Amino acid sequence: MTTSEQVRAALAVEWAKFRRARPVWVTTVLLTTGVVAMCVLTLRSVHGADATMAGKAQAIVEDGGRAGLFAAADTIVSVGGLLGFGVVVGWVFGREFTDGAISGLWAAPVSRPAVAAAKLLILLTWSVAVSVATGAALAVAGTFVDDDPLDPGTAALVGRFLAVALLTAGLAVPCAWVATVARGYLPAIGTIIAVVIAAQMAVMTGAGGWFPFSAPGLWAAGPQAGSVTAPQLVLALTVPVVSAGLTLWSWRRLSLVHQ
Amino acid sequence: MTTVGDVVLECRDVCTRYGSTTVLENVSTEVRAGEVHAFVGLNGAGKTTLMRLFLGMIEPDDGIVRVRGLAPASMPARHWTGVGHLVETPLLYPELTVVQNLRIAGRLAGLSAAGATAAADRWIEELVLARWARTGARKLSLGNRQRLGLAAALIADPDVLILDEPTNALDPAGIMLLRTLLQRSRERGTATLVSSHHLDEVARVADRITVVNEGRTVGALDPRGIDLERQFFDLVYRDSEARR
Repeated sequence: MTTSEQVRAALAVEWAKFRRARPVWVTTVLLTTGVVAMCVLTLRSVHGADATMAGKAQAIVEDGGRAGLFAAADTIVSVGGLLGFGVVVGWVFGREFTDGAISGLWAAPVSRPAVAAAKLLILLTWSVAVSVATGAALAVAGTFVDDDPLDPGTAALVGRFLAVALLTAGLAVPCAWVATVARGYLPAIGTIIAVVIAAQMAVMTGAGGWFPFSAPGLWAAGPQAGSVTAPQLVLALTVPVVSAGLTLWSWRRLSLVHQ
Repeated sequence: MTTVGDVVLECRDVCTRYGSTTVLENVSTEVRAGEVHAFVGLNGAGKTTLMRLFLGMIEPDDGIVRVRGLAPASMPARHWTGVGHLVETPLLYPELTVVQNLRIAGRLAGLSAAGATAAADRWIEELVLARWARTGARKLSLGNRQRLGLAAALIADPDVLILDEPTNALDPAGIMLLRTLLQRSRERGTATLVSSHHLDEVARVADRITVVNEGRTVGALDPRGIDLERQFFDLVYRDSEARR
């Protein structure tokens, strides 16, 4: 089999598993309808009876309306999205180790790097689909919270949301490498939880811009949250590239000696 | 292309250690096309490690391992075409049905989409899994999971077959079925390496039986011999005594 034939076969195999996997469906629902519902609730809580909550919500959504809805979405997806994307990435790369089925991927004409590449391609496609679906759902939800018609400003809001969501999805790719070297999805899930906490701490200490995992949320929140420079965004962009490379390399060199 | 009698699997003076524990010590053996070579030994004797070496899952610390003349740990993926195996846990996805699992196994074994579909249907019949073809693998009994694992190993009619304790969890009908499948594979020229601690079963299918104990090959048994169990324990205990 040529390399492209191997990747095509691996794509068919991985897609058959991915589209039937319960963790994928649960996360997809949470990342689409869940994010939209939380954004609407955030908008509503500005006028709620709890003054503390209202103040926090006000700080995110500012003047409310469609812009407020998308501002809430950017914040929520940069934190919750990291967790959601991370869980799925970790599960996709760690499940064979956890289930003990990994030995079945040895001694096959479809190489392990081809399988890993197929996993990454499917995760990329899924991340784009989830981000676009959530952006579209937010645009629809925006028509209910704002009387203004859809305009180029709405497109800009959707574009910014897609940038934040996709960058966040990319920042979850290290979970693939963690699941590989730690041989299971639980270490990857633990890692992404730790990263989310670290990202919040980085923001609180003012170092968020240089911590790639908090950069997308800070960038979306605008200058008032602390400006994010172009080099800092580029640093965030290198995370998925380096992690994907490390993961492919690790799958090539994988050994069962410690299994 | 191999012909009956050609050496297909070969290892020479292989030593493998996990940390400070020696798992295989100067093991040399071979499996020829058209023969079933059984490795028997107590738990922890090194049978599974030997199979992992032949499948490229680990590299030996010393010695040479060859699959069709190539070192398995660095063998390009295309050279694994025609190798089937079931070592430890079957490649089985619980959320998929039996037929979906076998189609996946077929694609990973290098079959086209249509070829994998046809092979899945055929092996479901061969392993008498038709009743559970549309059942999720998570609902299968242990025995049927093992049948599914065997079907996945055999899906592309391999000419090299490596099976670790293939009778695990099988009922008597499943064991007879496996025997028939191994005999048929041998007639087709398949080189089969099988491990087991069921001496009676091994004697019925194997052309050669090698006894391993604490990481070393300590002798051979004649599959047509009598009282194999006593001969086996004689070899094992003699070796264990000699080491003390």
